[in-house]
Amino acid sequence: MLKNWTKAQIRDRVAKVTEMAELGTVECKIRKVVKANDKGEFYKIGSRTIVMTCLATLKAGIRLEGFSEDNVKVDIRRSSVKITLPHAEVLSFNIPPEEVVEEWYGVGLFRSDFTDAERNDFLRQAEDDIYNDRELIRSVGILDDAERGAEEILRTLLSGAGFTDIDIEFK
Amino acid sequence: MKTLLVLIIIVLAAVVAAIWLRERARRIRIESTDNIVEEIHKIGELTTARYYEELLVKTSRDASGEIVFTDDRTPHLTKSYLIKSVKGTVRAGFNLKEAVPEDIKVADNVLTLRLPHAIILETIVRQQDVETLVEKGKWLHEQSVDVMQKAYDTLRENALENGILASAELSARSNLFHICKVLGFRDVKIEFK
Repeated sequence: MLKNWTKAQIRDRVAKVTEMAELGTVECKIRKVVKANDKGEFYKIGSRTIVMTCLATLKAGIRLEGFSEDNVKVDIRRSSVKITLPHAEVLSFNIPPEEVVEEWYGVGLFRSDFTDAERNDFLRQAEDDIYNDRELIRSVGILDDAERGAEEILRTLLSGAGFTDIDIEFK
Repeated sequence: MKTLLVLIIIVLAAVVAAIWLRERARRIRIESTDNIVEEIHKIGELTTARYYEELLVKTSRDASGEIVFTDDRTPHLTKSYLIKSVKGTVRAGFNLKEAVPEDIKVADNVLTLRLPHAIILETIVRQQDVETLVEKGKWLHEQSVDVMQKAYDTLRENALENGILASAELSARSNLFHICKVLGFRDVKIEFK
């Protein structure tokens, strides 16, 4: 447990708030086993092995920045609206610290323990591996689900606003 | 004889330097494992403000081995230190799943939208944005997790102190006003529940 915590002890270096507009419609949880085996070099005796698991949270949806008259065709008399939206994309990716578990590690007698910097690096590699796994994102259909989810939410809002003929497309 | 001794010392120093440089440049690669999708579910999160901060987390251990945050500016010989640079983002906005049909009303081509108040939706720290700057002594995984958890909590607290929720509501008001005007409404009223 941490104690003697004061704000002054974490120094702020850069901080800013910015405005944005994104509609997140799908959340996906991805688990990965992170295993590293360091057999060392010729001048080192013994090996080191570490096994961790991590659970990443990925959110997908559509960016609404740049939404303008060009994206909308409205016919008030017919209560019809046609909206063109950008295709869905991954909006956020996160591995919360509590979702990283060290399952096992073994260190040879003549070797030093894994350092915090090394464990960070293993998680960085795992993060890259998950984030860049476009095949996984495609095969599970996260982006298709995100577009369907956005369409569902917008249809609900637009029908509540009185539109009866609603056409939503992604380009 | 003296020249030979100097030569041996130079060669040994070169070997040590080469090993040291090799160690510094060496990166242990993780093994290839599958990425398993455990869960997919629908959400409805309208993010309208983002807070970004770069923190410097300085930790040490007290006599009982418990983690404490330190203000030391130079290392104490007998102390352990873990100093990390953490860049993170806090996203704020609205959970649209809480919206009900009665929250949207239209009268005389005037649209009235009622939204719940803005909330923090997520705090994000990418591993690529975490850097261990100083590591002295042995630091267990659980202790690193505690330090990172505190960094997450601080990002969230600082985002709130910097008015992220007010910014999110202001941004929602201007974004939704703009979108609804584009949809052809004469006027748009946005209220918070």
